[in-house]
Amino acid sequence: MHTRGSLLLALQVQGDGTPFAGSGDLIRLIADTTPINQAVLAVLIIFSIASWAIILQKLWSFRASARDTSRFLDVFRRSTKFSEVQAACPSLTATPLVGVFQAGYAEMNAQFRAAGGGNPAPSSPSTGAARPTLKSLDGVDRALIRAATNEIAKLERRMTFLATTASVTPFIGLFGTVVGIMIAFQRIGATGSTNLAVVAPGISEALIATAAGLFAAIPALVFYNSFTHRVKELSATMDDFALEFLNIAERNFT
Amino acid sequence: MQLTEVTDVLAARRQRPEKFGAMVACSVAAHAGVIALLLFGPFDWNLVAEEPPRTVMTISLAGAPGPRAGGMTPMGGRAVPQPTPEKPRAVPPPPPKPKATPAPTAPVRRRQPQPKPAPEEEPQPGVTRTETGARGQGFGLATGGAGGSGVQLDVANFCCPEYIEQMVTLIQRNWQSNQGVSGSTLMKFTITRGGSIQGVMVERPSGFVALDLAAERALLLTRLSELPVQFPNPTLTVHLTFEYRR
Repeated sequence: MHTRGSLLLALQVQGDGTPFAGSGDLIRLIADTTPINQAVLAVLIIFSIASWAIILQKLWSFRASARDTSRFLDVFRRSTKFSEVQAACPSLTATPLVGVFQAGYAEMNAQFRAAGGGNPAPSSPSTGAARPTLKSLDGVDRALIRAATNEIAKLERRMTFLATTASVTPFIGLFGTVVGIMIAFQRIGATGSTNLAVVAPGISEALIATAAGLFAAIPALVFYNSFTHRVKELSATMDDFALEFLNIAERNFT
Repeated sequence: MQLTEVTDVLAARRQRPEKFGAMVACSVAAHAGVIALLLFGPFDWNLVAEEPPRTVMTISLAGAPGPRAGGMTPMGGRAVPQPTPEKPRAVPPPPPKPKATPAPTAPVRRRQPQPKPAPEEEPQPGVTRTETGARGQGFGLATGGAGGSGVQLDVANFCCPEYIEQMVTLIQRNWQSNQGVSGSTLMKFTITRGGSIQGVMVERPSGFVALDLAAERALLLTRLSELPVQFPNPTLTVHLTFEYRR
């Protein structure tokens, strides 16, 4: 059997002392990109700043809401009078249950005033004194539903921007990349060289836009999903509280 | 504040401040920090570019070895010899007119002194280069011989093709290329100024220990001459692929 061999040889001279120019330097990479790519990067940064502002605000809001919700439910279930709950409301404004309770309480007051000629509202669900009577429990129910809807709308405020950022910024980045690659290929055609050293920098510059798009989109998508889940949880909590409120009102004021 | 109507309650809830402006400021500051960190931070963005470009010389020994396997002839990017300037020829002086003298009794033949030919000047390498398809500033090397065996090198950054010729020839003498299997071993070693081979290591194994050992043995058995004087660096690192073909 005859074996043939071949050698592949590469020489590397030691101690040249000529460091390779930092062509991958990020500042130069961004500075070398086309104006369209720079505009795309600016738009993506604005998207990212806005989405992170929303993310931070929502994180703060949901955290405060979770804290105040548990406190409010504790106060509500330990109180014997609605007026006690109403007194605690100004210190627990972060929870949406306060809005639901205040709406139901205001509707009951309105009904009692209408029925009793301006008498003050029910102070207690369990007092033995002359018990006011609700004219319409459905009216209270509607007030609670309105308040819950209002609170959900407030919780979901600006979340559409997160969804838009998550879905649009990758495409904006892709647009910048496509334009950058088009220009890079034009340059390659102009130089007439297919050398990797000519091809790679242009593509590398163009890909920055896609990276920036993903940088903006990924957190927006993650937190949008997280916040949507929290809104659903709070919505369920409000529905539960509204039913509990209606039950108490029906037991004591009908 | 006494909220008497449901609508008042809902309106009051909607107007509750959300600190969004403060969060925008936080977000701007955070982005500025991240961008500054990316631009001026300790991250090395030149991970790939740090390695200097490596020029690869390919030596292909396909076919039967020729009469002078390993012998190589520079062929790539050779300098075209410059034509030597023609010097004006020295015109011999005209022969002196014969004096009117009586005829000589015996003719004496005198040799005319011949002008000595000027020593031929060596052709000097010129600026013009032949286009041989070789890349870089390098040179090509080809073995002669039958069977189409050929060796080609393409080098930048190295001054002396003769030294490479000699090195490859010496390594080939010590290389047992007949191993019965196909494979490719990339070896790395350093030639010191004195010509000794140091730091022999397998850079990319072939998957067969025998092939790697044969390549390593070839390098360890090789004794090279000193690095050329024209080569200014203290060491020369070589990446050499030993390709075994069945």
